[in-house]
This record gives sequence, C-alpha cells and structure tokens, in this order.
Amino acid sequence: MECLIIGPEEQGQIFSLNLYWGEPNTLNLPIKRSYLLGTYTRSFVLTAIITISLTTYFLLSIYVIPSLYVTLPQIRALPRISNVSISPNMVHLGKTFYVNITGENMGDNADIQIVSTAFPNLTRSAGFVTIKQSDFTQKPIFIKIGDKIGSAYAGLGNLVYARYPSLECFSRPWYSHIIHHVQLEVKPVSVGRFMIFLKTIALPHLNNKSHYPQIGIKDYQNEFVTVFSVQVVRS
Amino acid sequence: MKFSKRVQSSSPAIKKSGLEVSLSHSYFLRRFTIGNALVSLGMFVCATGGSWDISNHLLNKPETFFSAPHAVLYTGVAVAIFGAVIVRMASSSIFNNNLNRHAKLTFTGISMMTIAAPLDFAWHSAFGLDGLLSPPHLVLLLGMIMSSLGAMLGIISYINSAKVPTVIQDNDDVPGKDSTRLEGRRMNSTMLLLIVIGVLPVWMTLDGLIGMCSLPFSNTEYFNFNLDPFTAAVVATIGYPVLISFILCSSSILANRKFGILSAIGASYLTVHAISTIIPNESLIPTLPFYMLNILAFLASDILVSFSSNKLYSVLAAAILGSSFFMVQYPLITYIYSEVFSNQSFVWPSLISSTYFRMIANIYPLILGPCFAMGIIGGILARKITSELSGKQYNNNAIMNK
Repeated sequence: MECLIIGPEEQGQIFSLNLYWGEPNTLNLPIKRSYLLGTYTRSFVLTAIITISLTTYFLLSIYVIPSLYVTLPQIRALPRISNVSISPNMVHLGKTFYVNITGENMGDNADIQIVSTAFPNLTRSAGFVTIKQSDFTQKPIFIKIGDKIGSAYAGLGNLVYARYPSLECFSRPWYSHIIHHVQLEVKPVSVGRFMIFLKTIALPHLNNKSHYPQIGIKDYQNEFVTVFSVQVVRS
Repeated sequence: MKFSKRVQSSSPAIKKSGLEVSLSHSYFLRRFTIGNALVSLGMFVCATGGSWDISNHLLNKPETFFSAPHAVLYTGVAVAIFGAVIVRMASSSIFNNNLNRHAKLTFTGISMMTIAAPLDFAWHSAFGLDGLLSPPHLVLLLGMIMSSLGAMLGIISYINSAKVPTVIQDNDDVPGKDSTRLEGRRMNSTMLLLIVIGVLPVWMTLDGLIGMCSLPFSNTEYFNFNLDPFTAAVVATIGYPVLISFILCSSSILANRKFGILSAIGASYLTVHAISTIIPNESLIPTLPFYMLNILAFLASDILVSFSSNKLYSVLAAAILGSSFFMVQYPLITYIYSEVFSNQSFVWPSLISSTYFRMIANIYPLILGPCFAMGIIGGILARKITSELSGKQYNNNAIMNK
C-alpha cells in the first residue's frame, strides 16, 4: 500500500513520502495507534466536562450572578453648586455683570450632570447672555421661551414648555469629585431687581440627593432653585 | 521507508507520472488570499470601531466627527481598500469564475462603503444628527457585509484548493485513497488562522445588521426609524441565535471539526465585544466576569462537535449556542427587551447592569424555547451551506486544474 503525502511547495518541489508494508523485501513498519483513555472512559470524561460546564454556565448566568449584582449598592451622584460669585452686585442699565458658577459632583459618577442658570427677567438670551469661559465636557445649550424641557427631575420623561430663557451647562459623564466652571457675562434689560435661578441635577435621578438645592422655592419645572439677584439702576 | 523528492516538470519522473506544478497560479492564488485576509482584517477593525462608536454615543454624546472610534473605523476601511487592491491585481491573473465572483462581491462591498461616506455627510448636513439606522448607515453596513462575505469566500476557496491535489492524476498513484473528501485533508495552522480571520468580520457585520434593526437608537428630530418594540424583540430573538449558531457551527465544519476553532472564534468575539461595549462604560466593568462565562457555552459546544460526528450532538451544540445569545449580546440587548417589558426605551448607562440582571430571570425562560429552535436552524443552515460551498469549490478547482 502506498501513501502519497503532498507537502508544502518549496521552490517548485513536491515531496512525497512512500510507506510500504506487507511486502517481504521492504522495511515493515507496523502502525499502531493508542489512546490515553479507552473509548468509553473518554466518552464519560467528555460528557462530564460538557455537563459540568453547561450547568455551571446556566446556573451562574441566570440565577447566581444576577442575584449577586442586583444586591450591589447603586451608583449615586451628589451634585452641588459649590461656589457662585456675581460681580458687581449693582450695575447701571446697559452695563454687564459677571456670574461665576462652580459645580461639583461629590458622590459617584453621574451619567449626566446639568448646571442650569435661568433668567426669569429676560425674554431672550441671545445678545444678553454670553459664555465667557466654560470647562464642561459638552457644549452648553441655550433654552428659549417655548422650547420643550424636562421637569420634576424626570428628564425627557415629563416635558413642559420653557417660560423664560435659561442656559444648561452639562458634562456627560460627570466624574466623581470633579469640578466644572462657567463664567457668564449678563446684560440686564430693565431697571430693578434682576433675578438669576440656579440649580444642578444629576441623571439618572435616583433620590432627593440627586439634585441641589434640596429645599427652597420651586420654579415652573417644579424643581428647587437657589435665587440670586443683581440690582440694576438707571445710568 | 522510501523518501523521494520530486522536482519540477523538467524531471522525467514527473513527465512519466503526468505531474505538473503550476507555480504562477499558486503565487497569484496566495496573493489573492492575502488580499482577502486584509479585507477581512479591515472589516474586523471597521466593525470593532462601529461597535465602540455606538457605546461612545450612548455614553458621551460626542459632538465631533474626529473621535477615536471613528478613527478606528476609517482605519479599517483603509486596510480593506488596500486588501481589495491586492485582490484585484491577483484576480486578473487567475482564470477561475468562482474566485472572480468572490472578488466582485468584495469590490461591490468596498464600493458601497465608499459611496456611503459622502451620503452620510449629505444626510448630516440635511437632517442633523442621525440615529443608528439611517439610509447611509444601512448602505455602509451592507457594504461591510458584502466585503467580508466576499473575502471569506475567497479564503475558503484558497483553503479548499490547498486541500485538493494540484493534479487529479495523482489519484492513480494512490489506489483507494479518496482525495476529494475534505475530511481526508489536513489543515495547517495557516488555514485555521485564515478561517478565524475570515469568519469573525462576517459575524460582527451580520450582528451589526440585526442590532441596527432591533436597537431603539434610530429616533431623531426628523425621522423615527425605530421598529415597534415587540417587533424589534422578535427580530433579536430570531436573528441572534441563528447567527451565533450558524457562524460557529460553520467555522467548526470549515476547520474539519478541529477542536479549538469554535472556542477561539467565540472567545475572540467575546473579547472584542467586551472591549468595545463593556469596558468603555465604567459601571459595567465589574460585570466582565459574568460576560466571560460565555466561553463555557462555546467550549461545551466545541467539544460536542469536535469529538463526535454524530448529528445529534451537532444539533445539541447548535441549540446550546443559540440559547446563549441573551448572555452573549449583553449589554446592548438590555435596550431591546427593556422597551418591551418596562416600556422604557432609554436605559441610563449606569443602570444597564441592574436593569439587565433584574430582567434576565423573568425573560430568559420565555425566550429559551425560541432560542433553542433558532439555534438548531442555524446549525442546519451551517451544515447545508458549508457542504454546498465545499462541493462547488472542489468541482471548480478540479475543472481549473484539468
């Protein structure tokens, strides 16, 4: 019996290995195959391996690990407005003042954390509110009167129409113990007390600590705000 | 034992036996295969970048085109184009209808991907930010699927031709040995590596197609391409098990049921998926051990198909693979089923794991039956298609060599 094995082609050569057996005048090479385990033992071992691995897999994946992970403490962000400075406190009509806001997350990472600055005295922000500096990871969004906006800390789950312009500065994500700043230049349009509403919200909103302030007055979005004001006098 | 060295056609021994070595054909075939391997690698990198881009959008809402996932994606496109050029150059010297068909499939796919880029730009300009499913994205993904399929078929052609003797007359020298049976041919490590390289991007791109149709990420300002939540869940429940089972069973059959190939391809997919969808989200990193458990299902199936040629065991392996889809497709599968069961189309990235683990005990018993059935269908399809491919490839190679 002759066995022809074609090996890899190297420089156009084909190698062949001829094995002869059963002929009296050639080298007789008995070929004997042996296995480590018998057929039945091998089958048993393989079946055992398959059964154990599948049982482990389905048991762990569907029951054990999910029960374990569900009991782990949830990630909770703690948003804060750590510093607000307004200068000057009194401006003449036609002049501008600066608002420096520092926001911080004192808890775990937040998927999104928003610092919202609202201007109830204005009818529009364009031309009256300018961002001088911002180190938030996302571009701030100006909300105009009539825009749809979330409310009651439900995000997009509960939309209302904006009643006055506001500015939303946000980072996505906002990492734990990271501080972000924004500096605004504001130009009041009328004499009197110019109001600024400030708040910060971390999303997902899991509990009362996911927003700041946690007490005080509520705005039209049914969310707590801190109130600041600047006196605007005639020139 | 007699060891003889046969030389090229100038040798009288070769003339006597009728052996002829076609070196130039083999050279172009190798170049053709290298080109296809590069296309496959390019598609693999592209698909990885695409998967990472989805995670990036979910986490960071990027506002710039110049992001790291986009860079990976377009690097993959560049590698694929380079590979397609090599395929083109090699295929023009190979007179084989089958190989030329595969090459055409690859070129068509690359062309579609190239056209998708300006289409996407135009779409963005007209309609702003687009969702996952949009006409340009669909063109891009279909192009990726065609390219990776064409490349894989080209690789299979090479493997089958490397298995078949270059001259049919050799059979006359070896009475009783049937060299037409694939089972009778050995596969070296290069062939096995080529199978892995060829199959992975096909899996990832088809996976992307199912995800594109079922994930609720296509609702934008102007268009809502999201499927109805229930329909999306049905698409996922049918599509993913068939795909996983089909791909892994096919790869095992192509590798002559060699133990390790199915596990290697499965492990590669798990690794890429973990890197692109789990690791970017810090809240999911603690769930990596859960995800890596899926290798047990792949190992068990690999043992079943490799150590027994019994059809029943192949069917069982296919069913196991199909039933693992809910765990293999973590975490993005959460969005699909969350929309159906809790009417919540959006899940916060930090809440994905808790939402998924709350869902699994309730949902999995409901979908286990369909997954099993779809997995078996995938296995049956794998058998039929790979035997069809192997038969056609052999006949074509035999005709080519006469």
